[in-house]
Parts: sequence; C-alpha cells; structure tokens
Amino acid sequence: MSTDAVPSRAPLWEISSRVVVFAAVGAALYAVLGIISIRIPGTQNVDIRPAFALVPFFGLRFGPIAGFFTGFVGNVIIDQIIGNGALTYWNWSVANGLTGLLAGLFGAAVLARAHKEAVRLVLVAVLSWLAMFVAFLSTITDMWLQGLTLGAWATLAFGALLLSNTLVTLILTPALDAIWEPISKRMGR
Amino acid sequence: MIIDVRDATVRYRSTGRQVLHGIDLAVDAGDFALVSGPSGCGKSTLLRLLNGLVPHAYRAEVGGVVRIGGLDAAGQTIKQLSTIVGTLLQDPAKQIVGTTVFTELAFGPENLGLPRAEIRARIDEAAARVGIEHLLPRATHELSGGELQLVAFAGVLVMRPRAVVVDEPLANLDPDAGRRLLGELRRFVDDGGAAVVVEHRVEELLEFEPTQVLYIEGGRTGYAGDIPGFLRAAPVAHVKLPFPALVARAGELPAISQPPRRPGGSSRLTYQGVSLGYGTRTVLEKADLDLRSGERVAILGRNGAGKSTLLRAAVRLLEPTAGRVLVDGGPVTGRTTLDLATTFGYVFQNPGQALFSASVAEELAFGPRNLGMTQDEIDEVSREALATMLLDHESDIMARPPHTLSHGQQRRLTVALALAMRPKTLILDEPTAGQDLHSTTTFMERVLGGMESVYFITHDVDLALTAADRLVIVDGGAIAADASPSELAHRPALWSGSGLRETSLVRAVRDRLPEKGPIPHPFVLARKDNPP
Amino acid sequence: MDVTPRYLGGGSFLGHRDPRVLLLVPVFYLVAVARAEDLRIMLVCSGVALAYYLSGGIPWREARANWMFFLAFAGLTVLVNSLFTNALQIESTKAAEPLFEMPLTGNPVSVATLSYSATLLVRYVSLAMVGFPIAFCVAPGDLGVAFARFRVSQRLAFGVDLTFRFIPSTAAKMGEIIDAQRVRGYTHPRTNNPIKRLISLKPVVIPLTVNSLIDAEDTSNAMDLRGFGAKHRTWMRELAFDRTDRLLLAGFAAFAVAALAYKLFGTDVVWVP
Ligand SMILES: Nc1ncnc2c1ncn2[C@@H]1O[C@H](COP(=O)(O)OP(=O)(O)OP(=O)(O)O)[C@@H](O)[C@H]1O
Ligand SMILES: Nc1ncnc2c1ncn2[C@@H]1O[C@H](COP(=O)(O)OP(=O)(O)OP(=O)(O)O)[C@@H](O)[C@H]1O
Ligand SMILES: [Mg+2]
Ligand SMILES: [Mg+2]
Repeated sequence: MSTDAVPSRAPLWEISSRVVVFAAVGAALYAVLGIISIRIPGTQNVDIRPAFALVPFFGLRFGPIAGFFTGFVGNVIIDQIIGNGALTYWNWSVANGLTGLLAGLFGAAVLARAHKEAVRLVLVAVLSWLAMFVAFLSTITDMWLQGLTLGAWATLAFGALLLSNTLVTLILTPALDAIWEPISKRMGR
Repeated sequence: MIIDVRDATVRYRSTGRQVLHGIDLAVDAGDFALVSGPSGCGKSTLLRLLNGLVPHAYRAEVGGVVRIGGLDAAGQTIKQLSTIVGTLLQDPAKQIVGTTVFTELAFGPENLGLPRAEIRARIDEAAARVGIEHLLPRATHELSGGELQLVAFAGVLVMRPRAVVVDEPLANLDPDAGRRLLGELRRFVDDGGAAVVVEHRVEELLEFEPTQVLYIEGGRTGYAGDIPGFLRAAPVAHVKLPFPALVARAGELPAISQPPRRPGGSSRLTYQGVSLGYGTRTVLEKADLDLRSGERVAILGRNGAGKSTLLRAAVRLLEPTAGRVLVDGGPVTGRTTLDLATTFGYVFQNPGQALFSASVAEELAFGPRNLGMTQDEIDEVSREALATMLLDHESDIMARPPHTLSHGQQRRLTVALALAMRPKTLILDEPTAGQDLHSTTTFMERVLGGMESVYFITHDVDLALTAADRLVIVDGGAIAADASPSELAHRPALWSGSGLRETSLVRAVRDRLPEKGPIPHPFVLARKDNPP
Repeated sequence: MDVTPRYLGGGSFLGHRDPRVLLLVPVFYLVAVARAEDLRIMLVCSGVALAYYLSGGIPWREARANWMFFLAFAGLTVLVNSLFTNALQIESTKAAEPLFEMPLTGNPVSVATLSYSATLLVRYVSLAMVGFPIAFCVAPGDLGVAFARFRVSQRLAFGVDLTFRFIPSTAAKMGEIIDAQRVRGYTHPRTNNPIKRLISLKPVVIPLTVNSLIDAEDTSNAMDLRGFGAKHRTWMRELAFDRTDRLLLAGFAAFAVAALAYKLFGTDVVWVP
C-alpha cells in the first residue's frame, strides 16, 4: 500500500495535528448530525442515520485514524446522548470505527489511482459500502454479547442496518465527496 | 532582527501560481508594522511565511531570504518558530481549542512540555495583561466575539513570543473591542515585542502609531516606509484614508456623481414593543422601530448587542416574547418564513455558510423552486440576479461549484441567492466585513443600485454614514439611537457608550455640513472646501 | 435536542473520583453481567449498579429525559427480541410450558420467557446506570487526560477533548445553517420515504460538513502554530488514584471475577419459579 496516497499526503498512520483536528471535527459532526436520525422501531439498535455517511467519508479523505475516531467516538457520544447508554452496544461503536478505518485503508490503496471524476465517485460509493459491510459483520458478536440467534442477528440487527446504511453510503457519501473534491483542491494543502 | 524577509517569493504548488514577488520586510523589537493591500494580494501568505505555515504546512516554493529570530526559517520547525512568532488568525473562533478559557490558555505551554507551576504562572500573567482574569473559568463557546479575540490573543502571549503577527483583527469586531485589542498589541510592542498587523482599516490603526507600512499590490511591494509617506502615496480608491489626508490630496480625487435620493415610502417593517431573546435570556426589550419601504437603513452596535437578533424576527426565525412585528402593515404571525422571503431577501453574516449545491445554477434554483417557480422563470431570475451582482462575467459561472468562488464572489453570490427570490427589500448582516475599500464600494454600489430599500448591519461607521439614509444604533437591549447620518454626526452624545467611535469623517461632517440634509461622498466633501 | 455535555454530578462521590475509575468500573461491570441469565443474580448485580449510580448524585430532573428515552428503547428491544420473536433463543424458554401466544407473531411465551425478558431489561437498565456517570460525572476536559494516562496516543487523547470543544459550536453552526436555509424555503419533510428524507437533509448536512472542514484547516494551523504534536506534552490536570479509587476498582474487579466464576462453574440458567 503506497503511504503517500492519502489525500492529506501524510503517512497513513501518522497522527499529525491535522489528523487529530479532522478526527475531532468528524466525531463532533457525526454526533450532532447523528442525533437527527430516524429510528426504525422494533429493530435491534438500528436506525436510519444519514450522518453515517460521514464515517466512510472521513476515512477516505483523512485516513484510517481519523475515520476510526469519527466512527467510534461519534457513535459512543450518540448512543450516550440519545440514551442507549454508551456501553449497551459498544461492539456497534467499534463497528462504526472499523468502517472509517477500512474506508481509510481502501481509499489509500485504490482511490488515489482514480483520476476521472465519475470513476472516483463510483469508487467512493462502492468502497464506503464495502467498508461498511465488512465492518458491521463484526457485530455478529451480538450472538454472544446479547445472546441473539444467528437468524435474529442477520435480520433484526445486521439486516436492518444494511438496509439503511446501504442507502446512506451509496447516496450521501458520494454526494458529500463530490462537493468536497473541488474545495479540497482549492484549499491546496 | 526578529523578522528579516528579503526579496521573498512564494508559489503555491496546488495552483502553481506565484503569489509573492520579491517582498521585503524587516521587523525588530519595538517595531509595529502595518501590512495592507487589496484582497488576494498576498497578505495572509506573507504572514504564513513568517510563522512557517509556508512552506511547512502548505505545499509551496519559497525564494529569497526569510530569517526568523536570526535563523533561516526553512531550517526551523513550526514548533520552534511558534516560540518566536505568535500568530493571531482572523477568526478567533477557529483558533480556540480549549473548552474553557483556562484550558485554552494552557494549550500552548502544555505542548511545550513546561512544568505545571510555570504554566500556571504564565497563564496568570497573560490573563492579567489582557485583562481577562474574570473569564478564566468560563466556557469558550459562551464568549462574545470581542472576548474570544482577547482570549485568543492571550493564548498567543502565553507562548512568550518575541513577535506577534495578526491577520485582520478588526474584521468582525465592533470599534471598541477592536481598539481594546490593538491597545494590548501596542502595549506588547512597547514592552519590547514586535508586531505585524494585516488590516484594511488603516485609519483605526493610525492612533496606535505603526512604525512602518508595507502596502502590497498583486504580490509586489506597492509602498514601504513610514505613515506620513503612506498617506501621501496610498491609492485613494483602495485605501480608506483619514479625512484630513483626503483633503490634502483633494486635487487627485476622482469625481463622484451620486443620484439624489428621496427616502420615505410606506411602512415596510414595524416593531411594536417587541422583546426578543433566547431561552430565558432577553436580548432586546420592548423595541419600537418603523423602517420604510424606500429607506436605506444602517444598523450599528457593539458585538452581541442584538443587531442580528432584531432582524431575524423580521423573517420569523425568532418569535417575539412580547409585542408584535408588522410587515407591510400586517402581522408577521400570519405569514411563513418562506412567504416572508419574497418580501425580505435575507443575507446572513458569513458567506458560503448555506452553499450546498454542486453548481451555482442549482444553488440559485433552490429558493425559487421552493417558491414554486417554473424552470423558465428560475432561469430568468437566476440570470438577472447574477447580472445585478456582476457575476455574469465569470466564465461558465453557472457550472462552477459555489465554494470554489473567491471570498468576495461568494459574498456577491449569497446576495444573488436572495435576489433570485425577487424580494422587495434586502437585509444584509455585515456584508462588507474584512473586505478592502474597493470591493466594499463596488459591492455596496451593486446592492444599493439594485434595490429600492436595503437594511444592513455593519461595524463600519463610515460606510453607514455614506451609504444609509438612516442609522439605527442598538445598545443595552434597546434602540439607543435612530436618526439621519448628519443628525447623528452632530450628536456625539449618541455615539459614546454604544461601542462606536467617531471617525475623522464623522468629525468632518459635523464641521462642514448642516445638521439636515444628505451626506455627500467623502471625496466630494473633501474637494468642497478647497476646489482644485 | 441539547447536545452540549452536561456536568451534573460534580460535587458527588463519583464526581470526586479519578475519571479513570468512572471509565474502568463500567468495563468490569460489563464483564460481570455479560449474558447473565438468572433473574435473581441479575437483580443482585443491578443492586450494585444502582448504588453506584446513586453515588453519582445526578439530579433526576436533569437526567429524566435520557432515562425515559432509554427505558422506552430498552423495553421495545426486549419486547421484540424475546417476546414477539424468539430472537434470544434460550433452551429452557423453549422447553418450558407456554402460557400464551403473543399477538401478531404468535410466538409462544412461557414463564421462562418472561423471566428471561425481565433479566434482559434489568441488565440493560443496570448497564445504563453504570454508564451514565461517564457522561454526567466526568468534568469536561478530564476525559482527554484520562485517556492519555491509559497510554492512548497523547494526540488522540487530546482529540477527545477537542471533540467536546467542537460539539457545541457544531450544534450552533447547524442552527444557523437551518435558519439560513429556512429563509430560502427549506422545510423538514413530512414524508416517511427514507430516500426523500436523505435528499431533503442535503441542504443542512452538506454545508455544515463543508464549513466545518474548511474551518478545521485553520484550527489545525492554529494548533501547529502553538506547538502541538510533541511526543510529550504536559497536562495541566493532574490525575492520581486515591485510596477510595483503588478500593472501588478492586471491589468491582473482584465482583467481575466472582460473577465470571459463577457463570463458569455455577448454574447460571434462566430462573423459573
Ligand atoms: N493554500 C493556497 N493554495 C493556493 N493558492 C492560495 C492559497 N492560499 C491563498 N492562495 C492564493 O494566493 C493569493 C493570495 O492569497 P492571500 O490569502 O494571501 O491574500 P490576502 O491578501 O490575505 O487576501 P484577503 O485580504 O482576502 O485575506 C490569492 O490569489 C489566493 O487565491
Ligand atoms: N442562537 C442563539 N442562542 C442563544 N443565544 C444567542 C443565539 N444567537 C445569539 N445569541 C446571543 O444573543 C446576543 C445577541 O446576539 P446577536 O447575534 O444578535 O448580536 P449581534 O449584534 O449580531 O453581534 P455581532 O455584531 O457580533 O454579530 C448575544 O449575546 C449572543 O450571545
Ligand atoms: Mg488574508
Ligand atoms: Mg450579528
């Protein structure tokens, strides 16, 4: 994996002040926006959360560390504020973090090579979805932590989440990236 | 020499454009350098050169000699430089990283790894120096614009820098707060520090006696030398000179022709005993005001006085806790925000805040579409709006992503967005903050030319004086004053204690004009008493 | 909804604890009650949790909203997972004699099912009890240093503080953007169509994100300019475990071990009266 491929042109795992700030901004945004989310009643701790688009976005744009921080810290705060309690579903917070982390890695590996705008956006959509899918497979730990049956996890928990987050990652994340691309060029860091 | 820049050049790699061409700047202890110039001329870039952001944080090629604290800047890290050159960014809100004022001040020394006792001592010293001890326990997100600016400055002082560089400190401050900050800066210099200040508002700085001026044009040195020389040499159209300087140069002032105005018309926006506030906190108490459909009204007042709050009530972004607001004689409660948007084109404080579309065209279409206009109508109003704001010259402007426009263009676009909804009156919240004189004048010309009535908030007294038929001063939770510019100029009592300052223009108006009647353009006024 | 962190339990017993304690105790408790099945044991554990929570001195008034939301949510989850559907398959709940069938799904409900559902609910609530003090009894700005002492990267630890610095300003910014869009005719959609909702959020989400990112560039510059990024940095806040802290931690550690041991060697099965 080429290390200078991240848009922020920093080594992949370096924690520069830039990474720290973007991580914090990401988490804060995710927390604040995550609170305006539409709960699907009756499912495991799953809701349509448009703000989730931010997690892969920050991963792709600002690297795996910022991505993980955004997803993990952001989700812990959301859970705390909307009242699930940060602990009840800690493994889901980890999954959120993983989404950002994986997106960061995928982005570093693939995205830098995409030069045509359209291609890039498609990749953004696909990669974010992939990162999300893989990351949330980890919530199968619910079978032990919550004592769910495989079927229940696959439908009530993972399935329902897949439904909403697929929408989000395929529509909002590319939309966000399309807007940000020209601006980031102009900011020229 | 603390700062020694010779024949410096900067080229940003991201755009490949060379931004600075051979700039010289020498600043030593006791020096107070003023850097000025049109927007985009390279002022901020020069500061980045001094504090090391260029080339350490921004990809850029640097030429010439840049020596900070006697050593070559390129050879030092930003961290090393930060102990020599302290930086105060234009917007303090972005510089604050602490949740409380104390943690904010502690941040820098913590990074230097200093022992706790030392840090505490430094914090107490800096806080005392800037006079913000009482703020130390406060949460930073509750502070007013002026307080934030002082806290940010103290956060720079705790690093014990030998020089401080400041980028447009006055842009978002009311005159009083601005003076407080500059006063502290002057004290810092008097105590053996050095300062470099970037600022458009030259006049406000004069009383703090800058020792040198660097005027940059297109990245090149336009003028470098002392103040008197600058006042003689500065381009009158681009630098707001104090009135006496204009008089001295009356001969070279261009002729200005202003169409006569007859303000008046029917009531457009009426406040009857209106009280406004947030949560339990009351900002305005029982305000009475009647703004007419043919008037240009300037609203002034210190930071946090409630200017924005007052105007937000006009479009029902805020409901009065008492009294009532009338629009065109009818109560606003009968109308929705969207419906009111066709009466008032409301332009918010910071441009680009609400831009979200991928192209200017979509951005322009958003409002009209919500009004239910057809595509043809939308195309038409969009074209009109862009033309009014002089944006139609830009090549394929319609397809540009809004955020890639320059700051000034974004400001004009946000006005165009409001115009696209065909409002009868424009409401502008600090439309010209942080812009140079030229862009300010052209901007206001467009806005005022395009509308029969404009109500705007500003901290720029001279702008209010020359552009408005009527000044409203908000202070102490009430309308402190409401009069014509010339009347107000003749009543210093009304100014004092409202966070405002008398400029040389105010004095000139008082000395040269009757209490009634319009105020001519400063150039006209300056030529009047000694015709060329 | 108010998103600014609220520091409610300042003067209380927990308020005086080292923040690391408030972070570690919940972890121990989590281990202790993981998959507890016996209602009686669960009740004992929740007693411990309740005592812990009460020592946080969080005013009921302030936390009521959070609790209401949580109870509704937890109740719903339990209903769905263990009563309406048999998502949480526990042998004994199937073995036991069904009392009645749930409406809609027709899922058979036995005493065991009820008992286990109760266990679940109690577990959720008790977890929340030990979790809430993190939110309400840790002084703002103490989290960062706490993580720093856990050997997390100094910089990321500061990132936690920074997050809490950004939350209120982000919320305020969002308020302003919503206002700015309302003037252009933006309204919250009444539709339930998820796609429509996503699209309708664009005018708020996009500008908020973009502006935050643009500002972030300046903030990271400002941090560089104040020397951020050294391996070692001083933290003004001094953290030290006192005797009470140690005792509390030791207590919960022991409690966790005991609970584990019981699960392994004891008979932790669904309690059927
Ligand atoms: N990071 C960057 N990458 C590429 N170009 C840049 C960058 N920052 C500024 N520029 C360009 O360099 C020129 C000078 O910018 P700079 O911000 O120094 O001007 P300024 O005098 O500070 O303007 P203003 O008064 O509006 O702040 C402008 O044309 C700007 O577009
Ligand atoms: N959304 C809000 N919630 C709570 N308080 C607010 C809000 N907006 C403004 N305030 C407070 O109301 C007071 C008036 O704010 P307002 O923005 O009207 O002042 P202003 O005159 O526009 O100041 P400035 O010149 O800095 O823009 C301030 O003390 C501010 O802190
Ligand atoms: Mg600048
Ligand atoms: Mg305002």
